[in-house]
Formats: sequence, C-alpha cells, structure tokens
Amino acid sequence: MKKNKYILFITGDTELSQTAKDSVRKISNSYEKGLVDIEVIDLIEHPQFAIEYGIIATPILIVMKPHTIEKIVGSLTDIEKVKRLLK
Amino acid sequence: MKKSTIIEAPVKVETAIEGFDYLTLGGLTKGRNTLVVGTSGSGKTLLGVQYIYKAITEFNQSGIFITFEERPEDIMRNVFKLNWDLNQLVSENQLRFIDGSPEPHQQEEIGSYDLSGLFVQIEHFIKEIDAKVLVIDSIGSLFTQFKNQGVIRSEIFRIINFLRDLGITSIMTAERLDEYGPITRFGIEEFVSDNVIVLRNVLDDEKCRRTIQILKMRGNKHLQGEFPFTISDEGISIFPLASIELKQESSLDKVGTGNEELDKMTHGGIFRDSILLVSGPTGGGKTLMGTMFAAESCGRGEKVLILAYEESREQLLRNAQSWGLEFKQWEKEGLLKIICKYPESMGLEDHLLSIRNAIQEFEPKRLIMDSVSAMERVASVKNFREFVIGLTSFVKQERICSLLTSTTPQLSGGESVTEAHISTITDVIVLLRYVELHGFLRRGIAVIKMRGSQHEKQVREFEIDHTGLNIGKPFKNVENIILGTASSTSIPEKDSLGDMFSK
Repeated sequence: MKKNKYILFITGDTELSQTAKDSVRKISNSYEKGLVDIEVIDLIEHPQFAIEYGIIATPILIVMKPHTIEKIVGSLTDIEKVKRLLK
Repeated sequence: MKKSTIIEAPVKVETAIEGFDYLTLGGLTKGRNTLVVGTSGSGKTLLGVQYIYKAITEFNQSGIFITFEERPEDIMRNVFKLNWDLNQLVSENQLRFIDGSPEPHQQEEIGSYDLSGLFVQIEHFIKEIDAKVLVIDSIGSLFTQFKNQGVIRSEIFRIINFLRDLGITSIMTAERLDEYGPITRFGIEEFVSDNVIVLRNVLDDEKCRRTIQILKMRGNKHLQGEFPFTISDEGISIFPLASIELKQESSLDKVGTGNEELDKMTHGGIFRDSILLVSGPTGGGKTLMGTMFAAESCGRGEKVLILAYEESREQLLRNAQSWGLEFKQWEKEGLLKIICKYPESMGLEDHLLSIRNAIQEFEPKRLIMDSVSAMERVASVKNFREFVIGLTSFVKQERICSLLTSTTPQLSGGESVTEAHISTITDVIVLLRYVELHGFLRRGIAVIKMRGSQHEKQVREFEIDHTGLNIGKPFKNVENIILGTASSTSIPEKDSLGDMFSK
C-alpha cells in the first residue's frame, strides 16, 4: 500500500464529527503505525478547504493519491468497507 | 429571555427581469425562497443567472450562485454571449460560485452525513462579499448525487430556513418531467412552498412556446395564468401582454394618411395615437397605402419605421421609386428605417421583442407593418392573438401612429384571422376590395370604423396608376359592394352605367 495523504474534514463539534473521528482513529490503528495517518480538519475553523475541495457533504474523507483525489462521504462507520476502498 | 416574534407582511424586491416584476406585482418576496420549476431546457438556470446578474448590476446586491448541475465555468461561458461578464463580477467581489457540480465518478457514501460543508461555504461567502441574494441550481441534481434522499430533503429545508433567518432572497430551481404533471420530481414544493414559479416550454401547434406562470406567492398578490416569454440576447423577457395598461392620453392631433382623398374620407386624417388597419386582397393596394403613409411622415420630417414581411428591401425601394419617392434618400437622412424579415425566421415572441427593440432604438413617430397577417402562418391562433395585442398595446404606449396591413383570404374580401383578432384593437379600419360590376373588375375603398371621429360612410372607387392610389367618386346604385356580392339596384342598365359615378 502506497503512502497517500488522508484528510478527514468535519464541521464543528457535532455527533457526526465525533463518530467520524472515532472511525478514522480505528482505521489508522488497524494499519501498521504511520502507514495511514489521517489528519482531521474542522471546516468551520478553516472554511477555505471547503471551497478548495468543493465540499458539500460532511464528514468527508479525502484521499490524495499521486494523480487523483478520492472522496468518501459519511461518518465511515463501516470500517471494513472503508478499508476495502483505501486499498 | 423569551424571544419576541415580529410578524411582518412580505415585502417584494424588484428583479429588473423584463416583465417579471409586473407579473409578480413587484418582484420576488424579500428574504424568502422562490422555487422555480420546469422541464429540462425550460430556462430555469438562465432565470437564476439573470436574477443574480440583475441584482448585482442594477441594485448593487452581491450574490452567491450554487450550482449542482453545470460547472461554474460553463455557466459563465453560456451567458458571456449575452455580454454578462460574471467573471468580472467575481473579481469585483460581488459574486461567488459554489461548485457542487457532480464529480466524474460517484462518490462513496459510508455512514451518515449532512450538508454542513455547503453551509460552511455559504456562510463564508455571505460574510466575505455581504451577499443579499442567492441562487441554487438545481435541487434535482442533489438528489441524484447523494443516495440518502431523507437527508437531502431535511438539508434543503435547513438551507431555506437558514437563508430566511439571514434575510437573503433566494431562488431555487427544480426539474419536473411533464409540463403539466406533478410540480417537481421530488415533491420538494411541499416544504418550500411559499412561492412557486413554473416555466414551460411546450409545443403548441408545432411551434415551441415558452411560458411562465406564478403558481403561488404566499401572502402576496400576483397575476394569474401563463405568460409567454422569450430568450434572446437580453436573456429572459416576459410579456404580460393581455394586461398592458392603456393609460396613455388620447390625442386630438390628426396626421395625414398620405392620400388627400382618404384624409377627406376620414375627416382630416387619423389621430396621432391611433392604429390604422388596411385590409385588402393581394394586389389590392395595401403596400402602396403603407408606402404613401411613410412618405407623408418623411415629408414632415417625422421618423418612420417600416417592417416588411412580404417584400424584400429592394422590392420596396424599387416600388417607392416608381411612385417618385426617394426612400433611399430618407434612409440616409435617418428619417426612414426598413426592416425586412421572413416571418418564419423566428418565433412571434422573438419578433415582438425585436420590433420593440427596433422601436426603442430608432424612436419612430410612425410604424408600418406589412403585413400583420403574414405572421398568422408562423403561429397558433392563441400565440398570434398575443402577438397582436402585445404589438398594438406597445405602439399605443409609445404613441406611435401605426398602419398595419392585413391580407384577406379571398379577392372579394372575407374575414381573416388577423381581422378577427385585431379589429377590436385598431382605431381605424380601411377596406380595399375588388368589386365586380357589369363584367368589370373595379376597386372600392371604404372607411368602416373610426374611433372618436366622424368619417365618410360611402364606398368609393379608386384606381392605381403611376401617380399612386387615386380615390374617385362613391359608387352609386350598387349594394353589398364591401359586405357581400355586389349587385346593382333595379335601375335600367343604360342609366346605371352613366349614373354610377355621377357627380
């Protein structure tokens, strides 16, 4: 698995944000340490990212691969499904 | 502390979209959302763009355009041909786009979500440019981009409440599948139902016809029914035809018709603000009357606009020259403008718009339209009627003395569709007819109606020769010349022949 950049965008301290943060923590921990580091950014504090990435729905996980950007919308509760997509 | 609620009557804000403010009796409801629905290609996006463009350029109100369908670049490109430079408005911080156009591939959804990302963008731009208006185009695309329809519904509801709390006036578009079916595909009108506008693009008698209807405007009055509109290089223009007020004062000032005898028949010409209809069969002298009317106007130094739908420019100029009239010279002097168009070249709404633009630009005192009946063949009866009413009410408003010609279906006359629709609107009607008498085909002229003035009731004979249209003496001892089959009364033929045009 190549090293990609992962950002989870959330909007404020909401239940959805909390669930999504818990999900990405579990996902990160299920990999070898340092392989999948997921940064968490709150768009309410940094709205420019919402504009830059054209974010409509949140939470959203953005996977920056060398040539493409993949987006997964939602609180990512089905961790196995997320992991299948990250492959 | 208990929050007090102030209940205010809805206030309207102008949109400066032609005809729209009249239709809605003042514009959109301030601080509220208006849902605009229509089938694909009905003009929803353009209405949204035009609304925001006018709000910025006419009323200095910044706006946000949220697009869920087309990319912002495509929208900018599409309206650039209307000379609406949205890019410049963006660089002047008066406009912001929120790009929610679909991603190349469907994004995955895992778990639950809402549209808070969109809220972040809206809030950011509202603060950044102090936005007062907002357009969302279109809601339907949101439902296809996201799987959880329940979330989308409740989020649309949340957006509308959010905008209302901030006092932002907004338009939201939504598609529908049938012109006369359910209001929207997703039933969203149920919860955003304060104001609903329907745009239609229907086939009517094989012609495309665009209409706009204000379905409801809660707490506000508006005009009822469908009104035609056109999309031209000025965007959307609506014609609230049937309701243009005839508020101009009537004029007692009379102008000449270009024919001395006809002036006598009409007791001094026609009123300056009136509409003269010349009805006659083909080759009956209608175009000549129009030509003389134009010449009279130019001779007085009054500008005249000729709209020709049956003859080419060259034909008109050549004919005028054969009557000794220097149309070319008058054109050079800016007294005369000739516009020749095929009726088929565009729809009637577009014809009407181009006529109005030509009038506003050239500012003529008189107008000649030869012929109105040529327009019949490019439209349905209903559409034609609206055109005639729109045209006549506009020239009346502008106080342009107009001569309209109408070709009768038969040589002997007969009522055309044009006349059925136009005769009640025109002030003066002149009939030109062929009359068969004793084996000879002769021409008769009669003034059958003249609003607000006396006129001669007799039917006169006229001839067309190299000097023009010469009106002679009244027919005598002949009945039903104009309104039926001519027949001489019971007078010996020998007498009648000598007596028919007695002095």
